Amino acid sequence: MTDNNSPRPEHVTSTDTPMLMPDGGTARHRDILSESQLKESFPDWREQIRHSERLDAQSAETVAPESVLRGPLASRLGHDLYSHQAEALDLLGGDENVVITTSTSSGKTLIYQLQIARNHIDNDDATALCLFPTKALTNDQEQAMNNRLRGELDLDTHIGTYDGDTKDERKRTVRESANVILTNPAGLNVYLPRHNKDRGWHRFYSNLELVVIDEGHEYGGVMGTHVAWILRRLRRVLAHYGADPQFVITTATIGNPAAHASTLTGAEFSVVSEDGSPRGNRDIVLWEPPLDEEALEGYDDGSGDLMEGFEQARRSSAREASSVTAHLAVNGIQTLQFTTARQGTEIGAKQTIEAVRDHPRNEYIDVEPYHAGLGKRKRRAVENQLKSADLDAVISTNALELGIDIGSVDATVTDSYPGTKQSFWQQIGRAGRGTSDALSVLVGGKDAMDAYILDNPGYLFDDDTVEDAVVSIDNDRVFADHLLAAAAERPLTAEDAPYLGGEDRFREMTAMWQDAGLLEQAGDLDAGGVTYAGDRRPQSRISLYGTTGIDYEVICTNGEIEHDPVATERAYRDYHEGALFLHAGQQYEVAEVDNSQPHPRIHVEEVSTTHYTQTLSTKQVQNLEVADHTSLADGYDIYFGTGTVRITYGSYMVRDYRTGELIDGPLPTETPPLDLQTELLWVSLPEDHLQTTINALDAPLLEPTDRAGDDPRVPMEQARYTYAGGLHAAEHGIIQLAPLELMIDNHDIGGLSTPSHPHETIPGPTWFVHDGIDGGIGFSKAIYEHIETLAARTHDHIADCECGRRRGCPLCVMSEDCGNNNDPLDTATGTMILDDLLAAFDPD
Amino acid sequence: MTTSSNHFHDALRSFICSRVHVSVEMTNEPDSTRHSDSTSPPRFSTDGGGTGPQLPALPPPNESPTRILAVSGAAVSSSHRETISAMVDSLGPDVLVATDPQANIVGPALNREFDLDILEVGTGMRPDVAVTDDNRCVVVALPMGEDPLNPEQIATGVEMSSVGEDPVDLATTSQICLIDQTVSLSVDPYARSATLDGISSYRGRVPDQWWTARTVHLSTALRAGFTTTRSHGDDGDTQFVGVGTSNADLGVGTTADTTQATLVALYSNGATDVSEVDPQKFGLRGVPEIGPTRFETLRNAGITTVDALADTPLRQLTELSGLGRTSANTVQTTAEAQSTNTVLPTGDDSLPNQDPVFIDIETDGLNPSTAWLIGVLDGGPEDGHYMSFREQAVGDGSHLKAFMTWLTGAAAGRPVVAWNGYRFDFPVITEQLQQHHPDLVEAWTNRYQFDALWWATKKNGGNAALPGRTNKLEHVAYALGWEPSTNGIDGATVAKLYTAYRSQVAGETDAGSVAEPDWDRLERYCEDDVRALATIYEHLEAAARQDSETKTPTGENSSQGSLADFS
Repeated sequence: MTDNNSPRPEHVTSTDTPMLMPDGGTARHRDILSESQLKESFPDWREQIRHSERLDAQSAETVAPESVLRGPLASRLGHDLYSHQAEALDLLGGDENVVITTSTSSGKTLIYQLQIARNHIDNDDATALCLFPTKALTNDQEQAMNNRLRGELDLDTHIGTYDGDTKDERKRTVRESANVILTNPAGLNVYLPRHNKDRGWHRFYSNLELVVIDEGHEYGGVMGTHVAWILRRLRRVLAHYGADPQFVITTATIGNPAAHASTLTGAEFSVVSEDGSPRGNRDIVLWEPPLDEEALEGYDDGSGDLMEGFEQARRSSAREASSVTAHLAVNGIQTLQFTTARQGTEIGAKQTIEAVRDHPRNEYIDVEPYHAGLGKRKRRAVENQLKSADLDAVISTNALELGIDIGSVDATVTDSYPGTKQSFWQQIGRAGRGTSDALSVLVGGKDAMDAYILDNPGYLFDDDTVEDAVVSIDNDRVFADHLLAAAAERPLTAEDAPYLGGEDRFREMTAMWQDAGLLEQAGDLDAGGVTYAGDRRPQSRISLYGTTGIDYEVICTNGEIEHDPVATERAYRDYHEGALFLHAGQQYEVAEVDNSQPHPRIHVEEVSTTHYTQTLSTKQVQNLEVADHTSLADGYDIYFGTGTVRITYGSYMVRDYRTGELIDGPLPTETPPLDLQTELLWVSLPEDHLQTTINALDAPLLEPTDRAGDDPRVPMEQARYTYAGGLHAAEHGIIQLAPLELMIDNHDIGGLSTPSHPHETIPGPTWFVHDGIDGGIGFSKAIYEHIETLAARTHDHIADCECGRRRGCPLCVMSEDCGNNNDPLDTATGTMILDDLLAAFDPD
Repeated sequence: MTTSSNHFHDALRSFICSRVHVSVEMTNEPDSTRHSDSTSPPRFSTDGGGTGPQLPALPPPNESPTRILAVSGAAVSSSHRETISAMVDSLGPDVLVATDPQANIVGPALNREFDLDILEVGTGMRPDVAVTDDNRCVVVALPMGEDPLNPEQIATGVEMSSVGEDPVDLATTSQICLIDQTVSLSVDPYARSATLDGISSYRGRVPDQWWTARTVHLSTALRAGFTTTRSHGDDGDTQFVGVGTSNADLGVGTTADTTQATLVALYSNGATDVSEVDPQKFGLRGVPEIGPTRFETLRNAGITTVDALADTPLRQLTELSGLGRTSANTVQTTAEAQSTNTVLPTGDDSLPNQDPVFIDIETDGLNPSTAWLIGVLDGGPEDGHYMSFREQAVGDGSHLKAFMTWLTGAAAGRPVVAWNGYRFDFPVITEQLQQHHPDLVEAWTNRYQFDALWWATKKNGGNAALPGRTNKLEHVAYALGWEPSTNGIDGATVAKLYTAYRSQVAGETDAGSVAEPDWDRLERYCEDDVRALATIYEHLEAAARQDSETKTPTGENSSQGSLADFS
C-alpha cells in the first residue's frame, strides 16, 4: 500500500442533483442511508439496519523527518513522517526487529523503504531482501520502490524482482548487482540452495542488512509453517555468511503481533501499533437481510432435507448486498462490493444491474466483476478504471484485499462477514480517499458468525481484542523435510541447532535421517558435520500447501485453470470424482482423480451449472496420546494431544445453490479412507452424563429423521438420539465460532462427537476437534488454549439464537461442512452440555 | 551321493568362521574372532546406523567382485526384450534377482535368454540357491514363511548350482549372500525414529554360523542404494543392502521415481558397491531420442542394435524416425560413437587453444563442505605429471593456497578443465576459497574454467557424441580404452570414507589413535580420474579436429593424426 496523498478525482455522475458537497460528503453519505431517505428510496425497505457505528475522524500525528533521519535523506523526503513511521524507524535505528500492525494505507511501506535508503547511504554495498505473498504485489512494490528510492530520494539503489517470471539473463544481473531483491517465500525456498552455486548470492547474502516480510498475517496454517522453516533455513545460511540482518514485518491488525513474528522467524520483535495516519469520518452500517419465514418450513418434522430451506434464505444476503450496492452507485457513490465465493462475482455484477432496474432512480451504472481468475490485462483494466472513476461499482472477491493499489472508493459493501476481523477491516479500509469520509456496509450472511456479529456489534467495535494469528512449527513431518533441505544447503553442524528446532529436536531428527540413510551415517554434528545423502534438490519437493509432500495438480481437460496444488487432505474431501466447485469465477466438475502416477492429478472440466456438491464423511479417532490435560471438576476433563483420524469421504450430495434444493444424493465417491496423524483436543464428559442430561431436559425428546434411519451410526432410540444431537451441536458450535477468537480457517479443522470411545481417558461421552492437516498446524491447539472463552461464546450464541429451533439453523449450529448432513442436532441439550462444561471450570 | 550329502551337512554344521577377516582393513585393532554364540539370544541395537569405530571398507585391490543384478518385473515387462538383453550383456552379472513389483514374471521372461541363475525371494518352500562361476560366493534367496533355513536344502541347492566337478565347500566359500524380502525400514518423523523392522524374525531364519561379518544381507524391501550396518553386540555387525523399493516415509529425500534395477558388487572382505541402473538406457534405448515408439519402428525395420543403427543410411533413418536431418545425424553419430567406442563430432565449437590443466576434486559428498583433495594433471593421459594437493589436517585450507599458487604461476593463462565442473568442481572450489582464502577468490574466478562434459553435451546443442554406458567420467573413459589403476572405488565411497575419518578425528584427543585411511590408494583413485579426463579430452580434441577438417575444403590444416592414432 502506498501513501495516497493525491487529490481526489472528480466524480462525474449523470444525475442532475449536485452530489459533491464542500466538506467532502459526510452529510451526503448519511443522507443516503438515513432511515427516512431509505424508506423513500430503497426498493425493499424492511428495517434492515441493525446497527450503525460512527468512527470519528482522526488527524495526523506527525514528526519532522529530521528528528529521525539524517540530513540528506530528511531533506529529500520533503514531507513529515507519521508518528508510527518515526517510531518504527527509531527502533530500527536501535538495531531492533520491528513488526508494524497499523492499518491499511497508513504508510507501512515507507518505513522499510526509508530503512533501505538509510542502509544504502551508510554503505552502498548493503542489500535487502523483501518477501511478498503474491507476484502481483511484488510487481506493484518493485515499481513503488523504484519511484521512491531512485526517483524521489535520488539514490543509486538497484532493485530487482527475482521470481518465476524473471528471465534467466535478468536473474543473473539481479543476483550480481541488485541491492534490493524482491521475491516470495516459495521462490526463496528454491533459490536459497543456489547460494553457493550461482554467482552473486555470496555478495548478496554477505551484505544483507534487512529482510522485509510484507503482509505477515497471511502466513498462517500450513503455508505459515513452511514459511517459518524457510526463514529459519535462511537465517542459518546467513549466519554462515556472517550476516545478521534486521527484520521488518508488516501485518494487518492481529492480537499477537510479537509472538507471530517471533514464531515466523525465530527472532525477537518490537511492536509498532499506534497509528498516526489521518482518516476521515467513517460510518459502518450492519445490515440484516430479512429472514424469509416460509423457506424454513418443512424441516422440523424430519421429512425434508434440513439444509434446503436455508440455502434459499442464504441467497437473500447476496441479493441484498447487490441492492445496497446498486442504491449507492445510483446515488453517485463509487462502491466496491466484496462477495462470497459461492455466488461468484459475475453473478453479483448481474444482480447489481438487476437491482438498479428495480430502483426508483433507474440510471445506467458501470459495474465490473473482479477476481483472481481474470486475465492480467483485464484485472489491470478494472484497477485503472476504478482509479480514474470510470466505474460506478466493482464486485470483487478477497483478491482486492491485499495491498494492490487501486486508489480508494467512496464506499464498500461486504456480503457476509469475511471470517476474520483483520479481513473485515482491510476491506473497510478500501473506502475513503485520504481524509474524506467513508462508508461501509456489512450485509449479514446466513452463518453463525454473521448472526453473532449482528447480535453483538460490540464484538467488532467495542472489543479491543483482535484475533490471534495462528502459526505453529510443531509439526515434525514438516520439520523433517526442511531439515533435509537445510542439509542440502550446507552440511548440518552443532551450531545450527538454535535455528533448526533447538538442541533435542535437531539432534533427534538428524539421527533419524542418518539411520534412514538420507543424511550421511558416518557424519557427526560435532565433528565435521553431517552431509545430505538423498536425492537431489529436496527443496523442489516441498510443497507449501500441504504437509505430506504429495499434492495434487489440478488440470482442466477442456480449458484452462490456474489452481494452486491441492493438499491430500483437501483433495480427498473436496475434489473427489463428481465434485462440483467454483474457482475464480468459473464452475468446474471433477472428472477423474488419477492416483496412479507419482505426481497425482485431478482432472476437471469446465461446466455450466447451478449445482454444487457437499461431501459426507465418517470418522474414527484412534491411537490417542495425551500431551496436555486440563482437569475440571467432577469427571469433566479436556485433553490435548495427537491421534490418528481416519476419515472416509464416502458419499456426497448435490444441491442447487439458488434454492438449496437437494438434487441428488447421497452418491458414492469411491474414495479410500484417509488416515491423518494429527493434533486434536477432546472434551471428556462424565460417564453418566447422557442420563443426567436427559433426566434434566425440560423439553420433549427429538424424533429421529428418516435420513437418520438409514445411517447406522445414528442412534434411533429417542433419548440417545437427542443427546447425540446435543453433543454434535456443541461440537459444531465451537468450530463455527472459533474464528471469532483465532485466525484459523475452519475448513482445516474437523470434529467428531460420540457417546463413547475406548480410550482410557474417556469414560463417557466426548467430542473431538482435530486439525485437518497431517501432522497438525496448531489450530486445535489454539482452540484448546482458548476453550473456556469459546465454550462461553458458543453457549450464549446457541441459547440466544433467534431461530428458536431445536434442530438449530445455519446461524447457530448448522454447518455446510458437516459430514453427517447436520443430523442429529439439538440446541436444547447442546446448551445444557455447554452449561455443565462451563460450570466445571469454576473451582467452586 | 548320499555320502557327499552327509559331507555337506557336516560341513555346514561345523561351519564356523574361524578365520573371519574383520571386514575392515583399516583398523589397527587386532583381529577379533567373531563367533556367533547360539546359546545367548541375539541382542539388537537398532539405534544409530553408524559403522562404529571402524572406517568403512575399501574393496581389496584388483579383486573382481561378485555382481548381483536385481531387476523388477515391472521393468522387464515395460522394456523391450532387446533392451533388457543389452542391459544384462553390458553389466555382466553373476546372478539375477527378481524384485517386486511383479517379481514372478522375471524368471519366465528371461530364463531362456540367459544362462544365469535367476533367483526369486519368498516363493516356494525351498530356498533358491546360486553359486557364482568362480565358486566364490553362494547366493541364497529365502523361501516364503518364517521357518529357519534348512541346511540340507541349501546344500542340495549348492550342489546343483556349483560349476565343475568339485562341489563347493561352504566352509571355505569366501562369501555368503542372503536375500530376503521382509527386512524393511520404517521412518516415523513424529517419533523421530527410523528403525529396521523384521530383523528378529529374519534372524531366526538364519543359521548361527552364517550370522557373521562375511555374510551380506540383501533385502528387496529396502530401497536400492540404502546400506546400513547394524550392531548386535556380541553377535557382531550385519550389513544390509537394499535392492528393491521401500514404503518408508522418506519425505522430500527421495524423488517419486522408482529405481527399476540395482547392481550390487560384493567383495570378499564385505565391501559392497551399489549402483542404481535405469533399465531403459541400454541398447538402442540408450541412444538419446530413441524412445519406445521409435524403438519399435526401428525394430520393425530390422534394426535392433546400436551397431545396426550406426550403419543405417541417413535417409532411411530420417524416414523411420521422423527426426529432422540434423537430429537424425546426431542420433546416428551417437550410435556410431557407442558402437565403435570413439568420440565423434556433432558440433563445431572449438576447444580452448592452450594446453589444458585437468583437475578433479574429492569431497565429503555431493553437497560438500570441503574439497580435501585436488588432483591435478599437467600433460597427457599417459605421461602427464600428476600432483596431489591434499589438506594437511582436517579442515585446513593450506592445500588450496598451494593449488592456487601453482595455478597462477606455472599454469598461468591455461584453461582449467574438469568433468561437470560448472555444476560441481568449480563452484565448490570457489566456495572453499571464500571460506579459507578469500583473497584468492578473484584470481580463481578470473580463470578460464572449462567444463568438458558441458562442452560435449550441452554447448550449442552439444559438440561431441560420447561412447559409454552413461556420461559419467569413468564410463566414457573406460569405453575409450582407459583402464584404472585402482578398482572398486567411486567418489561416493571416498566421500563416505573421508567423512567417517573426519568424524573420528574430531572426536579423539589423541590424533594418533585414529586409523588413517589408505591415502595413497585414494590419491591414486583421484589420479585415475584426472587421467581418465585427459583421455577423454584427447579424443574430444581429435573429434574437433576431424570436424574442422571436414569443414575446410582446402584442407590447409597442419598434419593431424587420424582417429586410429588414439585408439
